[in-house]
Amino acid sequence: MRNKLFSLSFVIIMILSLSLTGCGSNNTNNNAATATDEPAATAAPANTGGDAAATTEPAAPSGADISGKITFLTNRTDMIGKEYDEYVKRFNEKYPNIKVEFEASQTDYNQQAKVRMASGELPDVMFIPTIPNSDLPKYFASLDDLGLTDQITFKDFKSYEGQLYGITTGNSTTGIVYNKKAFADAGITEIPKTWDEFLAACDKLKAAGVVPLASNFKDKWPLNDWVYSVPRIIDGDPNFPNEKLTSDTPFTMDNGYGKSLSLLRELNEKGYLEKDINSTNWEQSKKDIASGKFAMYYLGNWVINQVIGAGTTSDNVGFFPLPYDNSGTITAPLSPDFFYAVAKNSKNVDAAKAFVKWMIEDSGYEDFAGFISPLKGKESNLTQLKEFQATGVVLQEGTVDDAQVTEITNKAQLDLPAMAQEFVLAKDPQTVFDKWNKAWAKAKKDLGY
Amino acid sequence: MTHSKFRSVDFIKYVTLLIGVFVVLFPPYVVIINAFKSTDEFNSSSSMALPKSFLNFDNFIAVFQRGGLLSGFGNVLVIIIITLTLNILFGTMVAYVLGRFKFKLKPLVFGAYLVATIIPSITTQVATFGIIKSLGLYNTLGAPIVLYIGADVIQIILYLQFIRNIPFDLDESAMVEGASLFKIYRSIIFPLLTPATATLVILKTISIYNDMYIPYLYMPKQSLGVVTTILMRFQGVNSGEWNLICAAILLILLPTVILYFFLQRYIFEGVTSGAVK
Amino acid sequence: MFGTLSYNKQKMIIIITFLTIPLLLLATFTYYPALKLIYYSFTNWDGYSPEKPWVGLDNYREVFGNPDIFKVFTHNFAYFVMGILQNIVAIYFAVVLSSKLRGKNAFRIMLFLPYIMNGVAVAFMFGYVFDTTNGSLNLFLNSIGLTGLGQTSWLGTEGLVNYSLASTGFWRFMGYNMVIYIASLQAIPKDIYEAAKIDGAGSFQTLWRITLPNMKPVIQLNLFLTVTGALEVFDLPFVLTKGGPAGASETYVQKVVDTAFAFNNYGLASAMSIILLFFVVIVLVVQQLVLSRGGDK
Repeated sequence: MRNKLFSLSFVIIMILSLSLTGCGSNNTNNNAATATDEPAATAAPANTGGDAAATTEPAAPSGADISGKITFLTNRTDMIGKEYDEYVKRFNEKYPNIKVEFEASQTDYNQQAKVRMASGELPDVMFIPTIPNSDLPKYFASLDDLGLTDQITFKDFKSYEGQLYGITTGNSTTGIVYNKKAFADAGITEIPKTWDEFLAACDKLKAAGVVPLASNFKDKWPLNDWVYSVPRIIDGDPNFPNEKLTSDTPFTMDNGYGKSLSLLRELNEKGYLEKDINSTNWEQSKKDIASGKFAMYYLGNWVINQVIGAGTTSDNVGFFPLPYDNSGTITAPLSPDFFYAVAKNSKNVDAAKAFVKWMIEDSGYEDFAGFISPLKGKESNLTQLKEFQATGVVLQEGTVDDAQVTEITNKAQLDLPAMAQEFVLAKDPQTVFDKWNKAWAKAKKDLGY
Repeated sequence: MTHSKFRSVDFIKYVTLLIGVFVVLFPPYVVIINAFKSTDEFNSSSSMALPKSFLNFDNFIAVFQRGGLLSGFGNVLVIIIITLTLNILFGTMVAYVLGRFKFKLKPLVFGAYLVATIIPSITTQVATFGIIKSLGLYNTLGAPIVLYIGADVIQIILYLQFIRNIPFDLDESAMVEGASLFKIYRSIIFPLLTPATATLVILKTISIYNDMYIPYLYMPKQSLGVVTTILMRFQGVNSGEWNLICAAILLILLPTVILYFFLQRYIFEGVTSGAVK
Repeated sequence: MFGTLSYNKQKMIIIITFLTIPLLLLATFTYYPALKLIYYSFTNWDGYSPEKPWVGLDNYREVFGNPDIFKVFTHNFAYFVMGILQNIVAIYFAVVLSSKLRGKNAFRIMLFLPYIMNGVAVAFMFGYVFDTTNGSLNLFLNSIGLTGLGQTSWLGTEGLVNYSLASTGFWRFMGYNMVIYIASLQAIPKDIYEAAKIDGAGSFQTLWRITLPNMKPVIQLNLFLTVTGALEVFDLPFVLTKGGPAGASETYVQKVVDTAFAFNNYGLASAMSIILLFFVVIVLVVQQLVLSRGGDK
């Protein structure tokens, strides 16, 4: 029966995959695996890395000079045997002597990666799990010699002491993804530019028998943006999440957290979310958005292709920034997804690096996944993004998470999306904030910060 | 008189059995119907709605074409055969020693198996991983095999129960004829444990066949995929091709159902009664 | 020749040779990792880096300094209740399907079917069963006229959610328990039954006096596993509810896993595991005492 427990607990984790279905493939920062502590990054000295490295670009050796076998641990298991095969074929045209193998990690990337790190059994190419940036040099090779340092976005996020260790696989902004026909049928002619207009639109949708916003509340990860990025854009301060360090009461009704979560709570109280927010179904919700049974998501642009894939046409899917207040000027967050990294102890570091570089520059993965390119200034092919930017929205990049903030978060076992759930469901939301403020202050004191 | 009484008892039995069957079949409905829907149909219809046709086998074909499934069957078959052979061997050996001999450390051995059950394996995985790696078994079929072959307490208890009911006279008369203890194990105990072994073969085959976590963690190499890890690949992180997954689930289910169907007759025929007398 | 040795010597040799490999396996893959776990519980290891700083009893102090951690055990009670129920039903079906009955093989196969199903399939299916608005359970309840009940939020109601989750486990493992019970019924020698028949015992008497007592070791074992399973449950809530709504279905092991891998505190997680182990042992000792007293008459 040990066997039963074994298989039970294991099948379990396995099953996680199912839950993960619900979770971000494209969107690590929306991914359950990382949900608890978004980027566990440290405040790396940011600006020193790039310049030094850019000059040391190797004299572009011809592809055939590099050889070896590499493995890539990926969470996009659905691409194995499909898109990845095609990537490898194209990759081998340039690098005929590199053999690429894929390893599937879907259930919990973070957990699997850490178990392997503990035994020093890392794949050659992988995504960076949630570890402090100060640990990056222990496991990963510096990527500055790829010559991409100056061209990539979010280069400071996975850097340490001026060295670059991780490159974003793609970026996302977050906004309202909506079914245009559902909007038109409900008589909404213009996209809402203020919170009041947004509520009015919701009301019309509700009156038309449509669920206005699919929150996918139950799955928790779809709430990530409400706690990781909306607070900082409402507060107008990219560094807002790190300012928790100086406070014993980081969660108040009148700061970014309180305001952001109050919006979500208001939507629920007014009946603009799913009928039973504790019983939501992610796979089904995509079909319902596509068919117009549900009208909107508040998620990253990566979801757009998936909605289209769930049974509608591209011209029926719109995308606009969330009008979180009545000022009329809107900011939207820009956030990176998983970061590629190359294992320091890889037997074929050069081959692994060549593969990462190729994935960034030539694979076209970001278009497939519906991301904004990891390279600066590269236009996205997603028409919805152009629509989004035409609203005059300002994109706000986040800052690297402060290592001490992450440490306190972990010590206090603070899981922000879970707190968001509590906040929305609680009779008195203030009690939720009180509870976590207390936990925060205690953890902060225990750690001596 | 007794006749009618028996009938009403049988009636209750059948009613409860039918309720049981209904409860069992109720949840899989959604898997079965969706396995026969095309992607468009899956997207446009309710997940609860019947498919247009139960003769649409496109998903099943697609699952096979996506590949890997056959090699997955092959890999898991190798694992199961090796594991079961060794596991049954070890299990009967332990049960024989515990069931037939008295020795000082006996309670300790049994206790060790019992206590092993309560150790939450999720939390020990980091250390286990280290062992597998240092044995050089990482990313080989050997990893799941060594993790599965150990006997577990339910196996031992089941065997012990059978051994207890094998009359000791059999051993004694064999000893009179000069048989060694090993021979007694091999020609008397082991064959008479067959019904229990058959049950265990089924249960273990199923649990190994369906286990996803061990193959997933210890042999992520693509060519070492087993059916469960291949099933997993149909799932993207945000996107699952659920009509394909449903078809794959049914395909994967098939061998176990067939196995169960054949072996169960053998198990339940009750080899014991004939042999033991 | 082995066969020419005295039986005592043979016995020694058999005991040693037959136990060496199995015990070695047990030690390597179960006890060694468990010992490591104890060691980790005295460190504040993050779970992956080579340094494992020793912190003594700090982790244990932290766990006991925060009694809230243990509140989640109230959620585990539902699994215990359903586990007991599961065993009763399994014994019932095992007895029924061991009697003379037309079509019993078909019923055996059917009832065992859930155990054959893949974990992914189970989670997927029950996601649809329990859905409030489109779920098959509520649709079914509505269709048979129980419209009041047909609005239930099975996974969204505090107090109910754990029972809904536990019933998934019931669905999946009842057939497994049943097969174990059937197998143990087979081990009961037929002549006992014949003797009982001659003595004129009724079928209920036979069940109570012969069948159940003979199944005692297996029942006890399954009870043991039910208790352990209830205390260590993890997968079901993790997959179906993520511990929601607002933590109402969170379990202890889930907290442990989060502590280890999401909050990078493997040391604390190890201490929590060890404490869980102690709880399980205590519960089992109590169970053993109660049962053995009951057995003495």
